[in-house]
Amino acid sequence: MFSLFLEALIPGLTQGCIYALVALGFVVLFSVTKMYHVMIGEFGMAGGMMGATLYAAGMPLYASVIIAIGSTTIISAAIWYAVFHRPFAKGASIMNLKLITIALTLVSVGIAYLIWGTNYKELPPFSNIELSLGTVRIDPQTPWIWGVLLLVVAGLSFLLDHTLVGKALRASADQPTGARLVGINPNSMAFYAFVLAGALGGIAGIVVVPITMTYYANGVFLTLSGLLAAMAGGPNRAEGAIMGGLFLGLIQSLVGAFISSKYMTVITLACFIVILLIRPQGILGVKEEEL
Amino acid sequence: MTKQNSQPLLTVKKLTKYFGGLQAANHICLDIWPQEVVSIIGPNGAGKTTLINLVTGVFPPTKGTIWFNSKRIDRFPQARVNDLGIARTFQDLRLFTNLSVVENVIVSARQTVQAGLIEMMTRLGRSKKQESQAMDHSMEKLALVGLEKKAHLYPFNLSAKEQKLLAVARCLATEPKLLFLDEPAGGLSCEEIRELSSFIFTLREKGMTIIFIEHRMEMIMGISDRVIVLNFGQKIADDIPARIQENEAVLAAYLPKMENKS
Amino acid sequence: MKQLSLAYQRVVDGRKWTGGVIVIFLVILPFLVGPYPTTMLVLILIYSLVAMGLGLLIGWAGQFSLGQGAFFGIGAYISGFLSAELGINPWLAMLCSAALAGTLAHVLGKPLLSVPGYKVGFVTIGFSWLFHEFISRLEMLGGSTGFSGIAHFSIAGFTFDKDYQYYYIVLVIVVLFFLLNQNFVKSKLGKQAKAMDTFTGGSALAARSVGIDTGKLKTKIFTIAGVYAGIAGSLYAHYMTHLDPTPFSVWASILMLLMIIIGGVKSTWGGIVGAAVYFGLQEMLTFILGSKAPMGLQYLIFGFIVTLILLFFPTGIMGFISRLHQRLKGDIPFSLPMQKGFDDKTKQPTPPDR
Repeated sequence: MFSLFLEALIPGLTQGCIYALVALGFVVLFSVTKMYHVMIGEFGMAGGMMGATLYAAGMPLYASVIIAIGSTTIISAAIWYAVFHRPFAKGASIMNLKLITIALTLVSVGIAYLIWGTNYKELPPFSNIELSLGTVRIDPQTPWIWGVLLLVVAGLSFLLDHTLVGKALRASADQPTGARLVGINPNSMAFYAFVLAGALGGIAGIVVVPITMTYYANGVFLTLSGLLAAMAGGPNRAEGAIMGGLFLGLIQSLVGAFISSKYMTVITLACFIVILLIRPQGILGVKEEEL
Repeated sequence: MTKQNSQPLLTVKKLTKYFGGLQAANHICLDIWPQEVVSIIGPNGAGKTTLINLVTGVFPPTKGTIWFNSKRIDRFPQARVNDLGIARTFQDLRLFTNLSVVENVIVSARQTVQAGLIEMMTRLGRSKKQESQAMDHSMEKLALVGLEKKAHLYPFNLSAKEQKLLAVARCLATEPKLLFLDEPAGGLSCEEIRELSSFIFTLREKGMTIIFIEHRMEMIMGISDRVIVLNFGQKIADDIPARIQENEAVLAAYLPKMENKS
Repeated sequence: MKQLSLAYQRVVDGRKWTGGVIVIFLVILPFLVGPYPTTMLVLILIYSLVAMGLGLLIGWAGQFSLGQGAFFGIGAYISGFLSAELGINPWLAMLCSAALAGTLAHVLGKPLLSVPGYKVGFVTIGFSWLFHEFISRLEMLGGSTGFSGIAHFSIAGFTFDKDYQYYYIVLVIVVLFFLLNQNFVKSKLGKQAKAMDTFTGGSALAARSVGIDTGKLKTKIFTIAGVYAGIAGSLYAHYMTHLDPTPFSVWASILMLLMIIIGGVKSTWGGIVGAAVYFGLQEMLTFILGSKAPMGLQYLIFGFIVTLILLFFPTGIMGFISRLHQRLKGDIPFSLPMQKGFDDKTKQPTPPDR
């Protein structure tokens, strides 16, 4: 029984780390701009597909990964300037921007389909060390994923607490008007947030490939999971994103192991919807005072 | 004229509201009797509009209770409070600028003939009757404020005074027993204030109770049965106009600088 | 310019017959385009019904639901199941599925919309996802392969099984719901919905202060959208006679949303226009490329078009046309720039009442 629990717990947490990464990216953009990043998963898909393609073409593993992540960051920046920069600066409504991200999701899925077709792409685990906890075998990619999450969290904390850009981002998120008053340019902040979100999405997307493979429609799944996790955890707080993501992965896995593996997604989704209905601001979120 | 009935129309007991750390209302207690004309005054930020918001259900109080016609209403949502017979205007009017003048009143109209959703979508049943009744009622209210000729114009076509009248007409369509007017005299000339005052008396004769927030002294002293003074969320005076003018607490609230100078 | 306006005015004042012309056009359309495109026309009409309901929800209640795909699927599966497994008459099945879709919409919408602060988009997208996952695994409904055996519609023994026959049935139903939609917009509830829309000049706060229960009204509109989607689903099921989970995914919900955005949310025609663009695009690409266009290309171009519309014509195609119409009539000067954001002819002088 306990080994069954462990067998479910570890992959569940691992998957949860991925969701948490995407959710973090979402929260970064949302807290600074109130924009819903509905295409963040696409960066994940792009990162994963690119990395896998590079590796298949002969590039060493680590180089492929790093280039892939770098590419998603650059693409993120390009998309911001090409599409969002002017409307955001002119004060387009958030709803409009969200819809544009949705439309861009379609575009990116279309492009991915045209480039790669419906083929699955894969990557080997980043290291091949066999691991086990007792009798439970752990996928070798697992420590990488956990490690990446920890690294990202550490990196983000450092960025947000100790760098000027990070502090400016936090200021914009907490008090947009106050931030403007002290000279922080909201458009630049939005840009950084968007690029950061894209990078996070890319990281999440590529680091999961050794476990689940990737294909052109992967992005939507990543986006939905990350979104749901972030909203349920609390869209304004990084802690909420991480908690939401881990929670989502864990619940899904445990439900699958102990209740029903056929309906595990359905039950998990139902739980999360119920959470959103009972507590719309997310578990760790703060209720917005309305008037 | 006032205090005929034994029960006050509106009672507010120890009404308190905190917005985070800011206390906007501090244990306010007051009674309003039917067909009174009462003014609420006080420096800016004293909590006058907050009081209206609390009574009309915009947000619930942190502490305290609100009673209307002996019914406790402090947790009721806005629409329900309006159904019970309380209406209010806004300082910034908040007219429905995307609807015509008469439509502004139609959407507020209380009607005896109600049509259901399906009837409205199919234009069968009571829908046509409901529509014509709504139009008749609304034109009636517009006529009361003198806007019937401008029924099919849009709010932005109206002058400032006409817009205020539309706001009142919109309220009247809800058949209120108690009407809150939030700074109705802003920007009006003395002549217009006289017109507004006599209009308020007309409403009183029709059975309404009026509570208005104001800064214009001519209006406050001229028509109020009573004046309630708020400062920093607290009620500091509640009396007839003549005595309010000599009330020390009121003077101190309005004229602190003069005190320091002497 | 004045001459152009006067001429246009005269043409448009013959409004009584424009409706007639459009109807005649729609009636002879299948014979104009041939059998294969007629299939596409049927699909356009079916999807436009969903989009119409969604347009009402977005344009009049201000809620961006990403769950219409689920209601579409619910309508389809219920109607299909009742027909295929229980042999129930398709018309009755359609009524049942509409009622069920509506009830479900009401049950979901009431808590979601009565109190502000709920993220409608997320809950509905979650619902859509949940529905798709559920339906793909339910053995009783065939799991991911689905089931067949759904009957076509029939009246007095005459079965509508040819494409153009089906087209007319669907056309009649869609026109009916189009008119219902228009009636709603002009009714007191429709006006109250406008009044509570803070983004286009109304005020939710003021609306509540005059007794309009905004939560109840939003729930009603959400229910209407659910019913529209449910009926469309039923039409789909009885057309296809075979159902599987593919057309009822989150993707479908997203596409339906984008269709109405392209068409324009404030216009009842918006749904039809948007659906036409989506399916028409597919046909046009096939025509240009000579062979069946890859799905990816269609998504790519469609997404691109939507992005352009959102950036430059946020009011959608119908919004643009209605603006054009106003300019040509002389109501507003040509020099006035296209307004960004969802707008109405509210800030411009209204023509005098006739």
